[in-house]
Amino acid sequence: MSCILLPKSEESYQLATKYNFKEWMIARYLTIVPETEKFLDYVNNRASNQYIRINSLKIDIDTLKQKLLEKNFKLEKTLLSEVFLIKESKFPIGATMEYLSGYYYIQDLSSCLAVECLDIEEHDLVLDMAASPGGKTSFMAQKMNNRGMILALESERKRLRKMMFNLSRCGVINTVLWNINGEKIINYNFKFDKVLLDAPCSCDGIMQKDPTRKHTYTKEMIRYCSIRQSQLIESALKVLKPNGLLVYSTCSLAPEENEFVIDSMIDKYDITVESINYGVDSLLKFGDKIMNKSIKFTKRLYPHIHNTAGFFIAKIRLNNINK
Amino acid sequence: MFRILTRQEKTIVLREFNKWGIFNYLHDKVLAVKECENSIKYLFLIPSVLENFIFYPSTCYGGLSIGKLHKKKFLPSITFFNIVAKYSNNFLYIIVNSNGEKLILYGRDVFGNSIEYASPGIDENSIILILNKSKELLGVGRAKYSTTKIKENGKVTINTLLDLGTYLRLENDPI
Repeated sequence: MSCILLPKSEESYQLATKYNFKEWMIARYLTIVPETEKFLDYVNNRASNQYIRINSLKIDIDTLKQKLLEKNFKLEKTLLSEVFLIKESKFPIGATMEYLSGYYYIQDLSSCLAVECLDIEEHDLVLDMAASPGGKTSFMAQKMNNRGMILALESERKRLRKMMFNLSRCGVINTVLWNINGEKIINYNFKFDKVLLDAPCSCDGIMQKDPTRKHTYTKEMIRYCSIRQSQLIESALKVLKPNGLLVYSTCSLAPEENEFVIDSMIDKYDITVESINYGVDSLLKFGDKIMNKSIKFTKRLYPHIHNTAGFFIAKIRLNNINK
Repeated sequence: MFRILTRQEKTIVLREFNKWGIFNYLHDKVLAVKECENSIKYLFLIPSVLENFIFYPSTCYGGLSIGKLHKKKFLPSITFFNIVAKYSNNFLYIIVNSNGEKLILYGRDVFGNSIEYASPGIDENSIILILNKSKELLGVGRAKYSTTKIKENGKVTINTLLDLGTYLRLENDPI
């Protein structure tokens, strides 16, 4: 799917100049992102929020909260009982004894919400299709109380070590990690109750964390990612059990990587897009493309509205394979 | 590629589980070994329910990574000692103060004056668990002195062999 370019305007020119973005990006954001200038101001001028997810495989929530309070951490509750916003800390949060012991994982709230949408149950057989560095995998293991089974796939060899250490640190025992491309899972004869596809994406939703993305972001990247995402989601649907659940997420704001991907699957598979209680409704129209009405059940999160990374989540139930 | 342990390998590993008082932890789990190109054998403890997914060429990790086998010796990992600290009473240990805690997480040795408690029965060369004041595992060390002399001021009395900081120091290494 090619990147859709929208007409430039006086406003897109001015915002691009003021916030040092490529103008074609701004022209798109003016349609995609509500309160666009507030968004640009937010990602340009504010440090990204830091969240921790307490790992109940290793410690209970109240005990860890107490330990961190004693170390002068200030925590704020979020939508999820295990996830806290770090308001203040005197130590780097990735170098405490509690972190090294796997008592918590540094993870954006948006990532945790994607796992939350998967309605994980203890004895599920779960596939994590693009797993490294393992934050969502370990959260799933936590929700399963280390029971059931997770098959985690990671295609990039250089990212495996980090994932292994994260799983070890967090005391995850119910996971097997395979070094293969996610698409290749269809070559094995397995069917899963749940599939999480946090798809590789162009990552403009995390520009706040990594400002270089503003300049490295290209139209070609959007095109490449959307093709790959379509291949991955097809494989995901093919290995789901009937009535199985797929959560598709990206940290991209591009509709070509989000709504368009889901829309094309609605035409091809017997699936139901289920509603999600977080975020704002996704786009039903972008450029000339009009989406299926059920796309409104997929959700978007924005940094300036939700205090998270820019994120997209879709929850998809498989009714029957291939129409 | 993962494979099940040979009889000899299994004996070596089970002996270690027995020695540290965690034999029962093996219930409903299988032991598997992954031989790497550099001839290092990594050992994994895997819940039986995962067995169907382990023995594939693409598998690089499963269950818990509990250590390595090298020249007929089992070299346990920090994860192995986490199991010991959680499920066994059969180990020698010391408790260090908060200053000692910080140093150990950087992989430094333990000074006598940072030790607040040492269990009786520690001899020279004993392998001991290093705990903080909340009795949480920080690392594993080799004693240079017996219990009576282990708190001696200004001297390194325990050489740190493994510590929790390993997770950070090695996480970006290639495999």
